[in-house]
Amino acid sequence: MKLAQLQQAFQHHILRGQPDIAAQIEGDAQNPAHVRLGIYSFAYTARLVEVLGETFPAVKAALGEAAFARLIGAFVQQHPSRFSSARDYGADLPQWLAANLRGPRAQGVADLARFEWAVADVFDAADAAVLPPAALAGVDPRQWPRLTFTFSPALQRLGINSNAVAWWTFACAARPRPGRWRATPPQQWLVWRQDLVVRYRRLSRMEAHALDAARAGSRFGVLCERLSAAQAARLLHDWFSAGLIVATDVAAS
Amino acid sequence: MIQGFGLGLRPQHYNAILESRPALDWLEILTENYLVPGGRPLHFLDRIRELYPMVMHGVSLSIGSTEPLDFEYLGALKALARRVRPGWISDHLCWTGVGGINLHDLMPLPYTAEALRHVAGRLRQVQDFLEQRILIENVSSYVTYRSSEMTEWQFIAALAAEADCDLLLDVNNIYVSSINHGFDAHEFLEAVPAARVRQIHLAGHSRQDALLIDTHDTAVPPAVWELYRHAIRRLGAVPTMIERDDNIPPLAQLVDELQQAREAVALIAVQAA
Repeated sequence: MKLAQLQQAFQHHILRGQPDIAAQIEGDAQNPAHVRLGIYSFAYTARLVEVLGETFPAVKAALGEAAFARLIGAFVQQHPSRFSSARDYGADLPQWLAANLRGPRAQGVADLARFEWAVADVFDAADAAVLPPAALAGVDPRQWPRLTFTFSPALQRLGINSNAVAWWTFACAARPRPGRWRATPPQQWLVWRQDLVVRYRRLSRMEAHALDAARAGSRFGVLCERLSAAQAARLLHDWFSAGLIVATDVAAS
Repeated sequence: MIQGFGLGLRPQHYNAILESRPALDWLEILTENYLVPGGRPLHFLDRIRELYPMVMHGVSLSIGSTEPLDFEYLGALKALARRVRPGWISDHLCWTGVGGINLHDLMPLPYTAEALRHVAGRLRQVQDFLEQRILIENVSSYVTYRSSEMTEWQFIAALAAEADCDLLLDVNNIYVSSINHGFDAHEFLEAVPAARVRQIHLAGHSRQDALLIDTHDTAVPPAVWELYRHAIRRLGAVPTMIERDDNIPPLAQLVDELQQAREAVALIAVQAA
């Protein structure tokens, strides 16, 4: 068997249990070929379940170790990794959970996975020097309406429709265990990294709209049309203080 | 110049290393842990690099795969090497997947003339791209292919000569594979081209029925220390480190464990004098 065929057959054995490779493997009474091959098959699923357990510790804590291993084992079987780094392997899990879970916890677990993926993403997102609030002091007041902002790459916005974040704080921030999974009205959350620490906070609807608009390139003058100037100025101060903004620019008139 | 004794750098030990500055000659980083855009991993990498020389050890090169080489990965590897300025770069003699799939495992190769030609050609390409020789490490394995035409050590010696690469000798992997395949680990050591061995790995393993599994989750066991002593008698004081990837103990415990390697090298130097 040529090298390329052999590798394909071995991979098919690991991913789909196809037996063709067994004829290529030496074995003896104590360690027959299927036992030896089984080490690779077992390790494949176990390793990826472990990787996902590290990326999604709150999903694991919320479901319990055994249920997590069963559920995530099914995900691994259906999703061979196409990533060069195992770090990226969890990218599709939140969507898979949303599509495959049933019952009252389905929405919450999928939300929790999205929240954890956002945390994982900002943890090692690109660095960028943030501007302090004092950076605004040098801006010519006449230019304020045309001011635009560049936000930190270590920032994620997400909408949550359950008490998933309470499950996250239970698992990762030693807060009390929530009573049960429940759906909630839409909540807007911000997850970001300030210095090396991953932070998160719930946003009001007003702030969420303003932040999304500012991230999309809206000028400060446009933000002020939707809010009062005082509200907009306060939000801006908060964003600078939280280390969300890395650059400002003045748009052409 | 990397010499002496080191440890694998693990995130659990970042703060302990910065606070206690243990007497280590160098550290080995897991390349993939730092192929990230930014944040904590690169922050600590840079701070610790200011204190210790480093070598880079990867798991994604897939030098034995019949897939085309991943030049995106190699480009990222080269960029990281510019940042770290490592003593050297290493990866494993294995394949990790085909058809665009990554099994995230170190899959063994058949020891055939075809595989030798294939791997040597790719290694030369990689070394040309990285503009340096790299070290290739022997892996633990649980299967022997019927198609193999030579022993693992014959394959490694031929590969090193053909590709003009250096070697990272994992003494635990030699031991694990020797039990799993019933060969004499000393025969392996005797056949290794000594001048090309630039680094030694030590680690622990676990037993699963009649097979040993390369788990890196225990202290280095006596049988591996014994084989290590044999290795340095033949190879000299090759830079040596302990790999620990699971059940990771406090840093001080690993530093103490590494002392056994220092003592083994010192004792053999005295005996040889």
